[in-house]
Amino acid sequence: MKREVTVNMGEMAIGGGDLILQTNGVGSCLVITMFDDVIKIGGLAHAMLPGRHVAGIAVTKILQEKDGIYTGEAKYVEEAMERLVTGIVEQGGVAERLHVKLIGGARMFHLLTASNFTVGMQNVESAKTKLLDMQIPLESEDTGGTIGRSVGIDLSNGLVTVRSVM
Amino acid sequence: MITDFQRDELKEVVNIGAGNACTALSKMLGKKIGFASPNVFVDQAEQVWPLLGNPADVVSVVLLKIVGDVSGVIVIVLPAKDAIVAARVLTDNHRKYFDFLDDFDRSALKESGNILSGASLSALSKFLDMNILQSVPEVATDMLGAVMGSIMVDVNNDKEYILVFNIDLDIEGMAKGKLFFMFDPKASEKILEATQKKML
Repeated sequence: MKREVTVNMGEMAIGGGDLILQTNGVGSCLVITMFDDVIKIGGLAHAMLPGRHVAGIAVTKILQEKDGIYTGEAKYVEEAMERLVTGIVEQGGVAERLHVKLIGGARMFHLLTASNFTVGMQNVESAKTKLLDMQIPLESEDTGGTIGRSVGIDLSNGLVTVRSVM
Repeated sequence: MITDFQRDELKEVVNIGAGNACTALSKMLGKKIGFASPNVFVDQAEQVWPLLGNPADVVSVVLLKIVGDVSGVIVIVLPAKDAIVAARVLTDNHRKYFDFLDDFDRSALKESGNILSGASLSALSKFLDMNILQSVPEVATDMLGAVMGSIMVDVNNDKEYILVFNIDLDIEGMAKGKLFFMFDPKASEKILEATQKKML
């Protein structure tokens, strides 16, 4: 029996074994999945904004463990990626071995963006910049467009499923 | 924070506006359009989520931006099925089969959004002596999390406090929707201050 765990917006989870991490309704947000296929440990983060613009808001939660699942806050793409990598490495993973996938970054409304550089695009850009910084290759992406997505990652084999309703 | 008096004051203003709007729309269409008394609250932006439902549910959303002296968004959230029913009622059954929204239906939903929010905003604008305008409407149908996520990012989905008006709508007893006015943190402060001044 596989355990399914739902990851909410602005949160992340890391685990392994028979776990499926699922997150629903990804619009301009960005989902980052990472998986180490040797030790079979991976994680998923559902981040909303590219980076922290306002200083001074303290990050209260670091990763917390419950039933072998590590969860934490992941509001910003840059921080989420750092935490995913550190979290997986702490459990014996190797950064160079990670299979990284990006999903989301859509443009749901034309009204909400004054320029052509939407929040979704900014999220994708900042994720790619961060990957370059960390020297980790991007395996694949399903980003952009105007539709919402639902994402799941099966942590027994690293299979990522993307669904849309439209 | 909002005092009971401020809340009642704002509630009454929006209530009158929404009442006028519903009457206008209902007269125009010859259909019953009901609405519940508005719910006004100031809370952390992320607290709006539980009012909306499951992020995986498919909804149709009419979005208008509030511009002028204060900024924010107006959102009408209808479950996808209710949106189709609403469109059917609004357009007086213009098609034989209604299983999705076509351009005409979207246009009808947009226009009703325009009417509903316009009257409330102008009432609010008069009361506060502020210049409050609304943008052209836009309709999107997708998972709740996806559409609202994008909107909340724009308003401010954080620990900061925002002013929210929430009105439940009912079209001919067949379609139910929720109308939200959300002001960004700065605008919320401005409106509350102006309300405070009004009472002195």
